[in-house]
Amino acid sequence: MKQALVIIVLGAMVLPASAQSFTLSMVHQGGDVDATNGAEILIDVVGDADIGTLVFGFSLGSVPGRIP
Amino acid sequence: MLGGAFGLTSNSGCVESMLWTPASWSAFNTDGGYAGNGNYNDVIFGQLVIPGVPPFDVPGAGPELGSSIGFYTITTRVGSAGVIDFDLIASSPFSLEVIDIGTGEISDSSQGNLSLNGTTITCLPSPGTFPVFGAFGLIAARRLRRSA
Repeated sequence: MKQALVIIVLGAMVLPASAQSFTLSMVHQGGDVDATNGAEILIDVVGDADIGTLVFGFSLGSVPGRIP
Repeated sequence: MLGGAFGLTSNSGCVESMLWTPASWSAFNTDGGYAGNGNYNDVIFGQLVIPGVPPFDVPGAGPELGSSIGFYTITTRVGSAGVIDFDLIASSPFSLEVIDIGTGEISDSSQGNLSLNGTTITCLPSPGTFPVFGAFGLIAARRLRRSA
Protein backbone atom coordinates (compact mmCIF):
# COMPACT_ATOMS: atom_id res chain seq x y z
CA MET A 1 0.00 0.00 0.00
CA LYS A 2 1.35 3.40 -0.93
CA GLN A 3 1.88 5.88 1.81
CA ALA A 4 2.35 9.56 1.21
CA LEU A 5 3.53 11.75 3.99
CA VAL A 6 4.51 15.37 4.19
CA ILE A 7 6.56 16.43 7.15
CA ILE A 8 7.24 20.08 7.76
CA VAL A 9 9.93 21.31 10.06
CA LEU A 10 8.74 24.49 11.67
CA GLY A 11 11.08 27.36 12.24
CA ALA A 12 10.88 30.80 13.72
CA MET A 13 12.60 33.70 12.04
CA VAL A 14 12.89 37.39 12.53
CA LEU A 15 12.35 39.54 9.50
CA PRO A 16 15.05 42.20 9.42
CA ALA A 17 13.67 45.59 10.28
CA SER A 18 14.96 46.97 7.02
CA ALA A 19 13.07 44.39 4.97
CA GLN A 20 9.59 45.26 3.82
CA SER A 21 9.29 42.35 1.49
CA PHE A 22 10.58 38.83 1.47
CA THR A 23 10.21 35.67 -0.53
CA LEU A 24 9.01 32.22 0.37
CA SER A 25 10.71 30.21 -2.33
CA MET A 26 9.79 26.57 -2.79
CA VAL A 27 12.49 24.39 -4.26
CA HIS A 28 12.24 20.72 -5.15
CA GLN A 29 15.02 19.15 -3.14
CA GLY A 30 13.87 15.56 -3.06
CA GLY A 31 15.74 12.35 -3.39
CA ASP A 32 14.67 8.94 -4.60
CA VAL A 33 11.16 7.94 -3.77
CA ASP A 34 11.23 4.51 -2.25
CA ALA A 35 10.80 2.84 1.07
CA THR A 36 13.86 4.44 2.61
CA ASN A 37 14.17 7.74 0.80
CA GLY A 38 11.71 10.48 0.19
CA ALA A 39 11.21 13.44 -2.02
CA GLU A 40 11.57 16.72 -0.25
CA ILE A 41 10.52 20.23 -0.96
CA LEU A 42 12.66 22.86 0.65
CA ILE A 43 11.20 26.20 1.59
CA ASP A 44 13.89 28.81 1.59
CA VAL A 45 12.88 32.07 3.18
CA VAL A 46 14.80 34.97 1.76
CA GLY A 47 14.38 38.63 2.50
CA ASP A 48 16.79 41.45 1.87
CA ALA A 49 19.25 39.00 3.38
CA ASP A 50 18.91 35.32 4.09
CA ILE A 51 16.83 34.99 7.20
CA GLY A 52 16.37 31.30 7.43
CA THR A 53 15.61 28.02 5.77
CA LEU A 54 12.77 25.64 6.32
CA VAL A 55 12.47 22.13 5.04
CA PHE A 56 9.47 19.97 4.59
CA GLY A 57 9.61 16.53 3.19
CA PHE A 58 7.24 14.62 0.99
CA SER A 59 7.71 10.89 0.91
CA LEU A 60 5.97 8.08 -0.83
CA GLY A 61 6.86 4.94 1.01
CA SER A 62 6.96 1.69 -0.96
CA VAL A 63 6.92 3.46 -4.31
CA PRO A 64 10.05 2.37 -6.19
CA GLY A 65 12.01 4.47 -8.63
CA ARG A 66 12.73 8.13 -8.55
CA ILE A 67 10.97 11.33 -9.37
CA PRO A 68 12.40 13.60 -12.03
CA MET B 1 7.85 16.80 -9.35
CA LEU B 2 4.82 16.58 -11.54
CA GLY B 3 2.65 19.19 -9.93
CA GLY B 4 0.71 20.26 -6.94
CA ALA B 5 -1.71 22.66 -5.34
CA PHE B 6 -1.89 24.47 -2.03
CA GLY B 7 -2.94 27.64 -0.33
CA LEU B 8 -1.15 29.81 2.19
CA THR B 9 -2.76 31.53 5.14
CA SER B 10 -1.58 33.74 7.99
CA ASN B 11 -4.53 36.01 8.94
CA SER B 12 -1.96 38.71 9.65
CA GLY B 13 -2.52 42.42 9.41
CA CYS B 14 1.24 42.84 8.99
CA VAL B 15 0.98 41.61 5.41
CA GLU B 16 0.12 44.22 2.82
CA SER B 17 0.26 42.09 -0.31
CA MET B 18 1.31 38.70 -1.62
CA LEU B 19 2.11 37.41 -5.07
CA TRP B 20 2.66 33.85 -6.30
CA THR B 21 5.07 33.24 -9.17
CA PRO B 22 5.17 29.69 -10.55
CA ALA B 23 8.37 28.19 -11.91
CA SER B 24 8.94 28.59 -15.64
CA TRP B 25 8.59 24.84 -16.24
CA SER B 26 5.05 24.83 -14.91
CA ALA B 27 2.76 24.79 -17.92
CA PHE B 28 -0.57 24.55 -16.13
CA ASN B 29 -1.02 27.30 -13.60
CA THR B 30 -3.99 28.50 -11.67
CA ASP B 31 -3.57 31.45 -9.34
CA GLY B 32 -6.37 32.14 -6.91
CA GLY B 33 -4.75 35.44 -5.99
CA TYR B 34 -4.25 37.34 -2.79
CA ALA B 35 -7.20 37.02 -0.47
CA GLY B 36 -6.19 39.82 1.88
CA ASN B 37 -5.18 39.70 5.53
CA GLY B 38 -2.06 37.69 4.74
CA ASN B 39 -3.92 34.85 3.04
CA TYR B 40 -3.46 33.47 -0.45
CA ASN B 41 -6.00 31.39 -2.33
CA ASP B 42 -5.07 28.07 -3.91
CA VAL B 43 -2.39 27.95 -6.54
CA ILE B 44 -1.97 25.03 -8.94
CA PHE B 45 1.22 24.22 -10.78
CA GLY B 46 2.27 21.32 -12.96
CA GLN B 47 3.12 19.96 -16.35
CA LEU B 48 1.34 17.66 -18.75
CA VAL B 49 2.34 14.01 -18.72
CA ILE B 50 0.29 11.33 -20.48
CA PRO B 51 1.48 7.85 -19.54
CA GLY B 52 1.93 5.57 -22.55
CA VAL B 53 1.67 8.36 -25.12
CA PRO B 54 5.14 9.37 -26.37
CA PRO B 55 6.54 11.96 -26.18
CA PHE B 56 4.12 13.13 -23.52
CA ASP B 57 4.90 10.19 -21.25
CA VAL B 58 8.19 11.74 -20.10
CA PRO B 59 8.20 14.86 -17.92
CA GLY B 60 9.83 17.86 -19.51
CA ALA B 61 12.92 19.53 -18.18
CA GLY B 62 12.60 21.88 -15.28
CA PRO B 63 11.15 20.23 -12.18
CA GLU B 64 14.23 18.16 -11.44
CA LEU B 65 15.73 17.99 -8.02
CA GLY B 66 17.01 21.35 -6.91
CA SER B 67 14.69 23.28 -9.17
CA SER B 68 12.18 25.85 -8.09
CA ILE B 69 8.48 25.11 -8.13
CA GLY B 70 7.55 28.72 -7.45
CA PHE B 71 7.72 31.43 -4.85
CA TYR B 72 5.60 33.86 -2.89
CA THR B 73 6.65 37.48 -2.69
CA ILE B 74 5.27 38.98 0.51
CA THR B 75 5.22 42.68 1.28
CA THR B 76 4.66 43.84 4.83
CA ARG B 77 3.04 47.07 5.91
CA VAL B 78 5.43 49.87 6.70
CA GLY B 79 6.01 50.10 10.42
CA SER B 80 4.05 46.96 11.16
CA ALA B 81 5.18 44.73 13.96
CA GLY B 82 4.05 41.32 15.00
CA VAL B 83 4.26 37.64 14.30
CA ILE B 84 3.19 36.17 10.99
CA ASP B 85 2.23 32.50 11.16
CA PHE B 86 2.13 31.10 7.66
CA ASP B 87 0.34 27.81 7.21
CA LEU B 88 0.24 25.80 4.03
CA ILE B 89 -3.25 24.59 3.25
CA ALA B 90 -3.85 21.29 1.53
CA SER B 91 -5.78 21.30 -1.70
CA SER B 92 -8.24 18.85 -3.19
CA PRO B 93 -7.92 16.27 -4.66
CA PHE B 94 -4.20 16.35 -3.77
CA SER B 95 -1.41 18.73 -2.87
CA LEU B 96 1.64 17.10 -4.43
CA GLU B 97 2.01 14.70 -7.31
CA VAL B 98 5.06 12.81 -8.56
CA ILE B 99 5.81 10.38 -11.38
CA ASP B 100 8.09 7.38 -11.41
CA ILE B 101 9.94 7.93 -14.69
CA GLY B 102 10.96 4.29 -14.70
CA THR B 103 7.45 2.87 -14.70
CA GLY B 104 5.38 5.92 -15.54
CA GLU B 105 3.39 5.37 -12.39
CA ILE B 106 1.91 8.55 -10.97
CA SER B 107 1.42 8.97 -7.24
CA ASP B 108 -0.04 11.79 -5.25
CA SER B 109 -0.43 12.84 -1.66
CA SER B 110 -4.03 11.70 -1.44
CA GLN B 111 -2.79 8.12 -1.41
CA GLY B 112 -1.56 8.41 2.14
CA ASN B 113 -1.31 10.80 5.03
CA LEU B 114 -0.73 14.44 4.25
CA SER B 115 0.37 16.88 6.91
CA LEU B 116 1.06 20.52 6.15
CA ASN B 117 2.16 23.12 8.64
CA GLY B 118 4.04 26.31 8.03
CA THR B 119 6.47 28.85 9.36
CA THR B 120 6.59 31.77 11.75
CA ILE B 121 8.16 35.09 10.90
CA THR B 122 8.50 37.95 13.35
CA CYS B 123 8.16 41.41 11.86
CA LEU B 124 9.99 44.22 13.56
CA PRO B 125 9.08 47.85 13.00
CA SER B 126 11.67 49.74 11.02
CA PRO B 127 14.18 51.65 13.19
CA GLY B 128 12.57 54.95 12.23
CA THR B 129 9.33 53.99 13.90
CA PHE B 130 10.85 53.40 17.33
CA PRO B 131 11.23 57.15 18.06
CA VAL B 132 7.58 57.60 17.03
CA PHE B 133 6.46 54.92 19.46
CA GLY B 134 8.64 56.52 22.11
CA ALA B 135 7.07 59.94 21.53
CA PHE B 136 3.57 58.49 21.82
CA GLY B 137 4.62 56.77 25.01
CA LEU B 138 5.89 60.04 26.55
CA ILE B 139 2.70 61.89 25.58
CA ALA B 140 0.55 59.13 27.03
CA ALA B 141 2.57 59.12 30.24
CA ARG B 142 2.22 62.90 30.66
CA ARG B 143 -1.54 62.70 30.14
CA LEU B 144 -1.82 59.94 32.71
CA ARG B 145 0.14 62.01 35.26
CA ARG B 146 -2.05 65.06 34.62
CA SER B 147 -5.28 63.13 35.01
CA ALA B 148 -4.08 61.44 38.21
